[in-house]
Amino acid sequence: MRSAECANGLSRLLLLVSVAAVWSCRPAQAASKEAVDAYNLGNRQYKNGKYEDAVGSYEKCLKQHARSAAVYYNLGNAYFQAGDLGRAVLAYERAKVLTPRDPDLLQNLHQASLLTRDEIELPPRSGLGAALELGLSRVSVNELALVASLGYLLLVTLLFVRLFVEGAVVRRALGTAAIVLGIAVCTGVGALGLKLQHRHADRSTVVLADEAIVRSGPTQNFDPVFKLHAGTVVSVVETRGVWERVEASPKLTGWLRRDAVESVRQ
Amino acid sequence: MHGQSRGFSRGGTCARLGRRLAALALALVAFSAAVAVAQVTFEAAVDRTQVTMNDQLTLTLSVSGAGVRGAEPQLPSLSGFSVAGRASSQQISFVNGRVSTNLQYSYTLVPTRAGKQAIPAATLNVNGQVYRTKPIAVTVAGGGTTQPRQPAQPSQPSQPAGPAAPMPPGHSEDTEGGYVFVKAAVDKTQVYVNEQVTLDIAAHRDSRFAWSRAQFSQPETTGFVGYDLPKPDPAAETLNGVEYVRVPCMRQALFPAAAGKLTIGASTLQFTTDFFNADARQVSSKPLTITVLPLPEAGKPAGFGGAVGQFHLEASADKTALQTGQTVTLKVTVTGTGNIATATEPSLGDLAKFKQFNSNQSEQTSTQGLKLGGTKEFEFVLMPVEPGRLALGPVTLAYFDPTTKTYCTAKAEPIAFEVTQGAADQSVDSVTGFTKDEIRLLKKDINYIRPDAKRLADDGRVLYRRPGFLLLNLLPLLGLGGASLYRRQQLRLANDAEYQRKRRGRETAAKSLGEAEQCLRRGRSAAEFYAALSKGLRELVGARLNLPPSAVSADTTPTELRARGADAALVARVEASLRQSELGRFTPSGGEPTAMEQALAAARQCVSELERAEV
Repeated sequence: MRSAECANGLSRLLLLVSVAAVWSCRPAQAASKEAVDAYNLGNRQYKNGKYEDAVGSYEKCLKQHARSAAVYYNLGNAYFQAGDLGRAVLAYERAKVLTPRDPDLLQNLHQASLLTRDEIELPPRSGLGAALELGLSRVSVNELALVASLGYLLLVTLLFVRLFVEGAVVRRALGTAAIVLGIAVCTGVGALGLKLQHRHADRSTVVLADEAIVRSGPTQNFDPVFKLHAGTVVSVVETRGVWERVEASPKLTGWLRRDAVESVRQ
Repeated sequence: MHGQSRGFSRGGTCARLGRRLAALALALVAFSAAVAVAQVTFEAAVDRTQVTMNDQLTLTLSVSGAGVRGAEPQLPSLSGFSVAGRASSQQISFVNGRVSTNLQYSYTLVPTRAGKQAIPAATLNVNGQVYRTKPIAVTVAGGGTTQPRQPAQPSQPSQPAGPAAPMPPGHSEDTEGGYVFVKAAVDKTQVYVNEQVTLDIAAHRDSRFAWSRAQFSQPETTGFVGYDLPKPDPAAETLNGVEYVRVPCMRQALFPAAAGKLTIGASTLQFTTDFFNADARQVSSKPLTITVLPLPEAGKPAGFGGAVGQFHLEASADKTALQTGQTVTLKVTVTGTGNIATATEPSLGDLAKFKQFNSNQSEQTSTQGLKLGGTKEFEFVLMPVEPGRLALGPVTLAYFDPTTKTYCTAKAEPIAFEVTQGAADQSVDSVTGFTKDEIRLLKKDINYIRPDAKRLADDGRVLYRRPGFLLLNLLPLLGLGGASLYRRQQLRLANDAEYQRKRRGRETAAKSLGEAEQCLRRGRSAAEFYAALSKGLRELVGARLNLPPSAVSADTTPTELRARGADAALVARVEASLRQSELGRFTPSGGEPTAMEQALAAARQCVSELERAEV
């Protein structure tokens, strides 16, 4: 009698916790009303051709912690129309982190990249590592986490069903499916880990200055090595004070001042 | 005797020879000492003979010659001066096997009273020989301005001139006409804002003297933007009959940033006259004042951005034939004299048919004589927005020419662009006869913005960090664990008879005892009560002993319990309870509620003890 009451209470608690968990996992936390108002105001200003004002509104929206891909996308458009290529590319790159396969976004980013002055030849990459990196670049962290989680839930369900199924054939089939799904889930979790590691290590930076002089050392006294222009995306490999050592390509590295660039990762 | 005589004679010869040698040696020593004494020179000199009460002078005592190392002159009692500082230097030379020492003692003297003053002779004692300098007359003016300095003549014959010769004591340094002075000059003292002023600063050194460790400090040029101009080589220059070496220190093109009176501060030259840095000197140039006029308002063009000088423009495009959607790079080059860095972005004229993207600029300064100039390149990325023959320009730059004192506009010729949408590719549909046009892209532009929203999702919030997400992934695992345990229990119950009996016996016993209690509470018959009690006891005992309940009785069970090692008191209680419940079912004597409660309590105690007992 007592155990039955306990089981009943426990099942109610589990149900409550499950509901709370599902609630906290709802797609995304909504931004404040001020952020939404600023976003819509920016859209109106954009439509009226007031691109600089639209930039201000979208930036205000982002300051309200509304890290929405739509806001970054529109901000990139406003910067592009205002003629600030560097910041347009930066906003598009930030939107790409959140929605890496958005076709409109990719097209706009491509269009902006066509207007950048620097043409950087990267060595062709091949092999499993390059394919994996390419694949990971097409999915966001949340997508990977969601897929891995769903696979895991399906695996648990399969194992649950297998517990209570009597037929040996069905049990064997379910066991095989569980092993395959288990491998897939492990791969997904591994991919998520790789993506997180890649995201943590990624120091992509966009040149904002119209022309940035890259020097051979981290002070003004060193000779200029080459120049970079607005909108070019480079990688930061080292930081010393206000100087960043950037790598445009494996053979093209040098130091430039931090105020000439801005990191894609915030 | 003879031998002695001879011996004596020989000894006298040797003695004479020895005496002669000794005399010769003494003569040599005396001669060399005399030479040494004769080589010592002791001189006094002042850097100026005319000073004011606000001024100071340097008295230098020079000692040179062999054997003067460590010798220190005695300064005479100075009635009209006070000694403000003292410095010394020593130079040792080794020439033709002889060591020569040159000592210099410098005293900074400050006049204490005006009038004609005399610096008495200083004395020097070298190996008992006393040397004296000649007194020096100095005129001390009452105060006010310093008279133009004249290079003081050394009191002794002047030292040989030449670049290697050390600077003698007593020289005028900080005004023009001294031994060393710094002169700052500008080509004009009245200019317009952003018009070039050429500043030329040079140090002049009397060609007879040398300095060492010369360090030049640039003047303060607050309010100016300066650019270095090439410096000329040092050259000889004669001033007031004195031959100087003119050493250029700085030559800059200065551009005043604002109107008003601006000052170019004093520049300083520090140097020493000896290797040991004991005699550090400093001379400075006079500050200069520049009057900066504002640019005239009359005639100022609308697009004037502040460029001053003489400029001209050239414009070129990387292509003149292009399609809509393509970009063209327009390069505008501004060249001329003036502060090229302040040349602003030229006006491209009407850009209604073009879309302009960010521009880049680079500049390179150069000099034409003493005029700063250079080239500044602007690059504009333009995209035509419609097809046709589009003209761009003329590209213009407004500037102020300070030589004519007027505003001018530099122009580059307009550039014509042939913008097409591509050749018309028409084909006739053979079935319908309609002419079809290929859809052509008029302009390549970015995709439009995302629409208005009622809510904005925070996409940046990562899912895997949310507690709910983690909990949602943990709960199924816990559920699976629970289900696994439940399933295991189910299977054991199904396959293990003893476990089943024990498990179910306990449950049935608890249920039967509960029924017995209900019978008691609801006042049912004693037979029903004892039947439930008996059933409960037999179920439990049967479960403990792995016997069917029907095989449990008050006669056989105690023996079985004893055989399993149960406590005797427990066995007795179990036997009593079983016997009482069996009897109660058929005899009315046990129907009293009190007796039934006691029987129920006894049965519960038996059940409790049996569950704990290891049987």
